[in-house]
Amino acid sequence: MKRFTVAVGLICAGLVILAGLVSLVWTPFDPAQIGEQRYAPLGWPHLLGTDHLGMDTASRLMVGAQTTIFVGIIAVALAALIGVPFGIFVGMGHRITGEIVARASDILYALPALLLAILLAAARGASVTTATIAIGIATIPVFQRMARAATLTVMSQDYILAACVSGTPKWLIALRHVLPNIAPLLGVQAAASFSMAILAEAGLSYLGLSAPPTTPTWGRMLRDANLYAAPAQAVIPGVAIALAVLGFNLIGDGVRDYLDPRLREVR
Amino acid sequence: MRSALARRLIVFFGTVLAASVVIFFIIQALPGDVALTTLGMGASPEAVEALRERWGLDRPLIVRYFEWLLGLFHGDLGTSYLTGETVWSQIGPRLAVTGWLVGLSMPLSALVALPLGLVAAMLRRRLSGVLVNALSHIGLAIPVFVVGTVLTIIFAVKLGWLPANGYVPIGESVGEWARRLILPVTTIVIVQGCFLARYVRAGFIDVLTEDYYRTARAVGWRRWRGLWRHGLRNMSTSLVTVLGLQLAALLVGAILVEQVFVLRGLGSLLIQAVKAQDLMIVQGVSMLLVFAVLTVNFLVDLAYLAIDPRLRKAVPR
Repeated sequence: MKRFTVAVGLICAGLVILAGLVSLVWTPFDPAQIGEQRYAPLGWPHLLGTDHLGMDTASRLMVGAQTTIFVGIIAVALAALIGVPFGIFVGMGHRITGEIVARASDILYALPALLLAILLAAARGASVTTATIAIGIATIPVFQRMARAATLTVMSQDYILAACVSGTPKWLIALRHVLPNIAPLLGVQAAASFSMAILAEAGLSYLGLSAPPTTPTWGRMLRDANLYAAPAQAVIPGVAIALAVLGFNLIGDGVRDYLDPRLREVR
Repeated sequence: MRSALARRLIVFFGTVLAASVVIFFIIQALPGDVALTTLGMGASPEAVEALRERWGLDRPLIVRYFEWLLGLFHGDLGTSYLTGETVWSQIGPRLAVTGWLVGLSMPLSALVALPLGLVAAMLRRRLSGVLVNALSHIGLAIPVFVVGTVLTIIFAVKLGWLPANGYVPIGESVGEWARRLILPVTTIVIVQGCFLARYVRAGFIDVLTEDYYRTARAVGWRRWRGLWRHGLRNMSTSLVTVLGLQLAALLVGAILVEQVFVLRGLGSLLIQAVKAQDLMIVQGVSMLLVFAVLTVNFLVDLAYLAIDPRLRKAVPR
């Protein structure tokens, strides 16, 4: 059963990544080509039909995968690169800094990605960059807390004590003992955060707060669809978003269950 | 109890203050000149300067921040540079829309999720339990605006049972008001309910392994009674946490739902203001939303104290 769900996850996520990669070199049609036939039904030559400007939906869907993956990777990397060191630092026992980081983390928690993106878009204009930064910053506390909790567990182990006694400097302990031991957990968190980032990006592009109108994104395709003339044009990008999110969620869940024997027992 | 309360109050006000700094400086400290934007690129430097002076933009940032903060203490969120109207006058008519949306969907989500999660936990080894689990997994992956769009296509476009969008105040027509809120509220309940149901299920499954549950079973209690009477209270702290987080997320997440159903609530005001570059409105509404989110978190903290007596002693973390 678990194997099956992970396989489903891998297939969904793989499809999305594949679509994005292939679109770099080939799409069935030019995704920016305005065609004669608007709202073409699903079929041939337009596999997924055409939108309100006669542009090929399948091609735009593939190109849209690029933005989704790009935003996901950069946002998660940003969050992990800032959140993890802070988490480890705090977890290795600095009381006062710990309190400060915890409070800063609380403040960030109160500013959800959506609101942060709105603020940045108001100040600097909406773009993929502001959307990515907003999602990344909003995800920092997630990694920080996760890394801190994991570090606390690792720090109570005997091999850390041994390292301390033998005079290993703290930063080396963090790098050599703590980081490798919490890495699997961070990996799971990255998968989960990746799917959250995809959700957030879709929401932002739906609101018109991400890529400019010329760039095809799944959220904007959904927004622009005419529900009366061609409802399929709204459903298709919606399904794409859901598949991508589901895929990474299932992968994250599967790996977590594998890592945590307690969960395996109960379920 | 009192010192625990005092500590939480201090943290609450500190966080609100810090959030106001973040919001103000993101909006005001970045390059870009509101006066120039308003008058257009062709405006004469004198005119721009005059406008800056009139709006007080020529004064140092710090001064402007403290003025705004002082206003906040009086409940004044600021005045729009563009229209000259106060932020509250813009918010006023929209508060009810978002209020009803959030106020109706939250309790309904909990009402749906509790029994669903309980059933899923009790039947976890059977197909129906697995089904509920799979369903909630899929529900988690579908963004709220996709759910809303699909519901609109089915019930408004294809079947024509309900209006696709718009809002009618409850004072005008109760029936019409309800008809227009059915789809938006259902959308939120589906998305939130899926999330909550998963959570409730996991919580009840944890209860199944507890000693008190085994004892209850041993003295002859039925399964659901053991779960309901003992399990619910024990998992209620974590349940309150999740409900609080969900409510906080919904306050901001309602923006998307309002866009789908063209409801003129707080969220749509915010989006409109971003597109019109009306910075004071963005600043004021964001502050209000963050304040609401933080208040919810604070109340959740208080709820812990009420539910779990062990937390009432102030223990420094």
